[in-house]
Amino acid sequence: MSGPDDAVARLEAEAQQWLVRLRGDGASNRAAFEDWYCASPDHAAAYDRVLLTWEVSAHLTRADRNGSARPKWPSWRPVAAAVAAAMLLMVGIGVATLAGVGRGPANAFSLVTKVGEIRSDRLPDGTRVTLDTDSRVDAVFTASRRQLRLVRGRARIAAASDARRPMELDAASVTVGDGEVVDLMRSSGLTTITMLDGAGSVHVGQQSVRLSAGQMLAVADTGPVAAPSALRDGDTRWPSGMLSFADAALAVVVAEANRYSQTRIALDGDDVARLRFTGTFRGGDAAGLAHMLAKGFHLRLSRGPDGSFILSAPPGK
Amino acid sequence: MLYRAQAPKLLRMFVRRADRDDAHDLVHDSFVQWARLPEEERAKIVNPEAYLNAVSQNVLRSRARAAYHRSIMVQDEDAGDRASVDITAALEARDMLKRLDAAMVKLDPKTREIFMALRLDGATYAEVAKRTGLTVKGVEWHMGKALATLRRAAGHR
Repeated sequence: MSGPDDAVARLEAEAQQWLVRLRGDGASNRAAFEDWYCASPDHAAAYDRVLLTWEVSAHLTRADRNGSARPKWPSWRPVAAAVAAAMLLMVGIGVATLAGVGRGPANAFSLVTKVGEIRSDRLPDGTRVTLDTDSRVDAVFTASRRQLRLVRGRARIAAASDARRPMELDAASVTVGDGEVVDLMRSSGLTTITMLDGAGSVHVGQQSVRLSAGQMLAVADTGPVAAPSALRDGDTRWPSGMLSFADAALAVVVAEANRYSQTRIALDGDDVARLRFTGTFRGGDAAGLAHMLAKGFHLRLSRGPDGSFILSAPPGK
Repeated sequence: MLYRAQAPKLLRMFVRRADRDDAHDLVHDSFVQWARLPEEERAKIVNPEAYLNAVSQNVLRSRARAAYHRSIMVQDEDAGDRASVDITAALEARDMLKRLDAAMVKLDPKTREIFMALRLDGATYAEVAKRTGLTVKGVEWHMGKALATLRRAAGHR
């Protein structure tokens, strides 16, 4: 019986076409793609299979075919492509000089994301920097040192090892000496350092704290350095763009969601703010979240003059 | 080395896949969200069916957005994602990569080189078109052909 198989093959062919289109021009195909994806769980499943194949294929190498594992094209090309695609804001230099980082003289550049954007870039030394919404990292690379400074927001830095040029991560008064994968976050006078892999020392003024994998440390701009604490479950998932909460006050949920969106959600009244929410959603979709919360908690949903979503208790409550 | 099957990223794909590949999981996800609500919140839901529908649409929308972002990535190594890795996933990943590798060998050399340039070098269609003298449409055709071949080789999952 070939009927169901044909249907699967046809959907997968459609899914492949979508991937081909998105790889060519994601932005202008995005809305139509997401509608197609959501039209049926079968579409979603077919696309996920194609996408998995595509992702796994990134681990193929050329080694066994033309005798060399080295890419034929300059290895900085992916970065250049990322720059073009994401309109990476470069301060002080052009793409061509970014390609020279790691060999040439001093280089300074910035990585910036807009509100709602989460982006991951590979620097030419192999270091991967993932920026959360509305974040900025300034980089200075010289022949003898590599420095990344978090100016605002949050960044995950997976530092490529380079024995001659140790990586230095800074945020406000804090310097992280080493460590392999580190999250840095700046938020209202607080710097949070999360050690995801490896171990590192965190220097604040004269103090130095050792941080091992799975620990985080919060440092206030004024005041003492607290002891490291263990990571909680949801602390590390932000690069996926998914926001997870377990029995959290709605006020907390909405504040976090608002970081990712120009359109804000407001809660009218303490009773609403104190409702407890458990669940996962993607940041950046204020309308979707507002409607889901209104439905789930039986709240009244209205729009403010600035377009914000306002959730309030229904009348008679 | 033929592959880097130990790459945590690769393994994570399979772990992620394992809990979302099936259409039925959508229902499951929605139900879990509902079940996790505190009891008094659940009691407030007058029409659980409509609520579950809304949640499952929301879950599907989230997946669509995630799929979009994964699709346009230039290099998709989300370093540091700490999802746990299990041994079954590791073996499956290695297995699929082996099958893909075998399929690549059978591809027309031109299609293969174009796919490799797009996939491994992060080249754009326009760059490959310029390099090969093909049109962008032509490059897209090779990309589609390579994807179809790989997809078939990857197996039913």
